[in-house]
Amino acid sequence: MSVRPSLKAMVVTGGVLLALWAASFALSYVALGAWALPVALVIALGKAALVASFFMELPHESLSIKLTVLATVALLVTLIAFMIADISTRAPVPPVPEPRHAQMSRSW
Amino acid sequence: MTDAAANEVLEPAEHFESIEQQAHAARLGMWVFLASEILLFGAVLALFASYQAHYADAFRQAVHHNTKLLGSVNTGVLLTSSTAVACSVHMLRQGRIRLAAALVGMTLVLGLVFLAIKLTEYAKHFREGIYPGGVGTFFQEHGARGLPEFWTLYFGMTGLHALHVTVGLIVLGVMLIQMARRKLSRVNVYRLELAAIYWHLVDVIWIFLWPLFYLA
Repeated sequence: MSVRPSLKAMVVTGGVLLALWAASFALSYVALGAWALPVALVIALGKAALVASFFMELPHESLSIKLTVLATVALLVTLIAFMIADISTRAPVPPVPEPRHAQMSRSW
Repeated sequence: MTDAAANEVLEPAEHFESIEQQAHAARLGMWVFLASEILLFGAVLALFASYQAHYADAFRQAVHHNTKLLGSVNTGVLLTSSTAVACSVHMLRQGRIRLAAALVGMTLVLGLVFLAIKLTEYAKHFREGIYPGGVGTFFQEHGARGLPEFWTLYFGMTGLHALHVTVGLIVLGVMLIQMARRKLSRVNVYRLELAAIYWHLVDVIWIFLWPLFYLA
């Protein structure tokens, strides 16, 4: 089994996390337009990776645990990717027609 | 300070060959549970993403209106608490129970601070007439389509997260009590590891919620 992160590594990771937090906060005041959210999410991904690697010690865990996490992430990426694809490729919803005053005839 | 528990030998449960195997099974079980939590929050995040794509302007407006400073302070609080609990696991592995307990205590206090700030934010939203489901005077004054969706998702997702924080605090409290009673030590440190990785996931979830609701 490989060596687990030392106390120093954990404290340094904590410091880096807080630095990324400050950077994310500062960047939110910069006019990035449409890039604002992707940039913030990429920083978030970096922070999550640090927590998973150094705090949750995922690289030191067994294959069964790593596969569990891998399967979860794969499923999640699939879900989000297809939801975005669904939303962005939908045809515009046609406007609701005016209700008729007369009785509506059945078309089927 | 010597650790009396360091000399004790812990017998694994009947169906395990060794304590290491038992610890691994416990960790695998926790990770499978965490996987289900990731999928739960991931699904709601996907829902948020789809509404955000639909109502981009309203969502941007709502983010601008949100309590950014309080939410950002809360992020710092959780990141620090994660660091503390990670260090506590390290200390307990070395048999330094008092230091481990102090760090778990620090994590607990920071978690309570998080919840206090969260409730302060909710109180501010309520005062402004923002309630879940598009209820409240705010939505009568601001009629943009998408605002009720944002705020309902906000209360739903941060509320669900706060529930998880509360559960995490209870679990950490139990760990603290067990350490005080010398029932949790170096020999069964995997129990604290389980509590810690649950807390880390709660932190990771907030790491993603923060930019979506407060920054972009």
